[in-house]
Amino acid sequence: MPFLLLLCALSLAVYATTTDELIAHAHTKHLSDTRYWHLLMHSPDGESEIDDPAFFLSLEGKTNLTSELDETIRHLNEDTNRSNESVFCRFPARRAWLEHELNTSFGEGECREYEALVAKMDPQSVTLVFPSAHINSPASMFGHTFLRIDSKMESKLMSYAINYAAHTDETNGLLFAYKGLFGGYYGFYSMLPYYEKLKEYRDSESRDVWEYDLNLTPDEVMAMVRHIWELQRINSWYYFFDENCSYHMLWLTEIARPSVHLRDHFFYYVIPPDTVRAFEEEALVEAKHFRPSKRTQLLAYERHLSPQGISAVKALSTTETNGAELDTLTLSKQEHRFALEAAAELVEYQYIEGKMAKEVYAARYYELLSRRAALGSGELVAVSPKANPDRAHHSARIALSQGWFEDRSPLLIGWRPAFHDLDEDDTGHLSGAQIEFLDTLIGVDHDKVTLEKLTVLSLASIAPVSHFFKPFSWRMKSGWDREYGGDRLSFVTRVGAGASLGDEGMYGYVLSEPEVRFGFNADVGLGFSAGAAINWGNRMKSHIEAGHIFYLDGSDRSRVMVSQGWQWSPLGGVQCSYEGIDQDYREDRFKLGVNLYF
Amino acid sequence: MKKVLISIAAIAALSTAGFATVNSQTGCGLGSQIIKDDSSAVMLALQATTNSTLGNQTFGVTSGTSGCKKARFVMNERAAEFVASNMDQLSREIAIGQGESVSTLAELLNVQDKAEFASALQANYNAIYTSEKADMATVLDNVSTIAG
Repeated sequence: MPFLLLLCALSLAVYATTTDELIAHAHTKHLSDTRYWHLLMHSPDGESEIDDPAFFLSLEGKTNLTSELDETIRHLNEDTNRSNESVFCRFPARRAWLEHELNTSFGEGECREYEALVAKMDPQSVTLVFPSAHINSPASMFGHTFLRIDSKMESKLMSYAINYAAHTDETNGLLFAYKGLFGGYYGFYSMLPYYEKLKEYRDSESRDVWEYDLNLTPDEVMAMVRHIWELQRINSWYYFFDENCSYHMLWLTEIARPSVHLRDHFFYYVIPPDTVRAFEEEALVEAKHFRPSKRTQLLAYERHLSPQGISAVKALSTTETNGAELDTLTLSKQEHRFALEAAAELVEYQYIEGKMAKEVYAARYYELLSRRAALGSGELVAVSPKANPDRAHHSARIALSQGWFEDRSPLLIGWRPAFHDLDEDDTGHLSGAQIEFLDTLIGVDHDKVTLEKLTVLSLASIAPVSHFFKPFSWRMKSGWDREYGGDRLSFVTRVGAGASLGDEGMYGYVLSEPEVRFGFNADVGLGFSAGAAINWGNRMKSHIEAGHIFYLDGSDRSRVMVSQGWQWSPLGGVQCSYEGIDQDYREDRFKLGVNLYF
Repeated sequence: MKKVLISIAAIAALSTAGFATVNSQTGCGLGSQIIKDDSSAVMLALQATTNSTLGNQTFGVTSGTSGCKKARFVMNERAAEFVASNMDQLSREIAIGQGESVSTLAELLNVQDKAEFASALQANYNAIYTSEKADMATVLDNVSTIAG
């Protein structure tokens, strides 16, 4: 009986367990081989992806996870300093996990900063936030993702956004891109109130924001928060394609719920829209919300206002017209309200864009809102719903089609790692935006294999002008194709600009496009194109374009293109097209095939 | 050669992303919005994802009200912080008579009836914002007088 009592006393006094015993226990349980330890260490295969020595307690911690585990136990169990900068306070996730696994307690500490943070955050649930593309920037189609930690508050504005971003004050774009691709910038975690992130993405950059509420439990959220604390001020090399913002959100979520394997959904690159889908496939998403951007909001006002209302908005925002003149117009009371609201939004937009001085803005904004308040409560402007980005076709594409050209009928095999072109269904994408990277098309005709097309990069931004917005449209392409001088391969670089009219459903555009060609024959030309596209709404897309180009050597070429596509799901679609090229002689090319996405 | 070209193209695609940064103009009055950097249109057109940060905005849990006059009545640091950072949005929502920022403020001030709060603020817009130079402390004091 005394022996039993002694045993009980020992098990209660776990705090006094020697470090060697704890380490031995950890070794018996093979803790350093467990998935959770690898998650905490950001180690996909034995070596941590974190590059900051401050993250490791053992000198060889980055590559030796066992030694890092042993050192962690040693520090937690033996260190007498237990204030803010101690190991005890800096690594709450490691501490909580080890206490659980080793069935021990490392005792109490005085982690005031950490506790203040947790108290302020009051972590209860998590939302994945996806700011989608912004107009005139096709490259932003890759988007961005971050996590939002919600408290018990009903309002989500006071929640904290956890963001992973490259830290740089680089102003040289080329250097920035080079380092982004090949490493050279450190990525850091940051934490800001959600309203600040909304100001940045929704207001300043005018990007529609999608939110995906995750079904993580408060305990799981707490595990995530503990680990976020461990990553404070810790840096890793930032890589645009793989170790980017989205990738880090995958880690954080796996730490919250180790049973999900989000990272397994990706091969090499992690594109934010695909991240959203991975979260859905792992059954993490329980609700979705949409926050229209400032631009989307203003376009909604445009739709609700009569021509008279729209000119009133423009007058109110651009001139010194005071709101009193509005009273003389025969607008309905509701339209009067909308006009004032839209004008306030518009001056704010112009101020954000840097087109209006702060004093002018403040005075006009105040005057407009003061008049609006006097009209009492009315309707809220209805923003028409948009297709959720999770319904968009996946980003990598294999295209299989049959071609019927002038002298040959090749089987065409295409591969495009990313991302979207003007012929494809726009559901879930920014309409009129294109970004294609390494789009490759191979033709197989009997025993002859030919390169039909290799687009190194193509971008397009067909941004329709509206009453309130006057963006220009532009397009660029660089790569090999067979559009010049008959059925021969040449390398073209083309950059053009123009204008567009319409909306997301249907738009038309005209572009002036100079091009330079190299290959069997170098040539320079100036082309003009006009086109139109219709999104039919049932994942059908039509695109038609005609163009004419005049070359310096005196020749010219005309080209007509019609394409029709039907996307049956995010995974596949049917595409057919006709292309007529007339340079020295007329050539017709027909294509029919399927696009498979993954 | 191809590899070089590919790299160049990728660089072209991603370059200028560095310009996509924003200046945060914190202030206590209207105009505390985030202002876009005045980059050229072409640079903006080519910009990639803007997930880069400038300056030291890591764990921003400290209050954003430093430099602002303190509100007399409201000893509520979070409400002060929220109002200081959301002057423009809040002002518009008060004028419209509803919105997420108004609801947030109601919650921060422990106001039960949010709809009543919103319409009371709307009716007193000119008493809350006495001029375009109204600052956070004044707005918050006026709001709490009205909601009082």
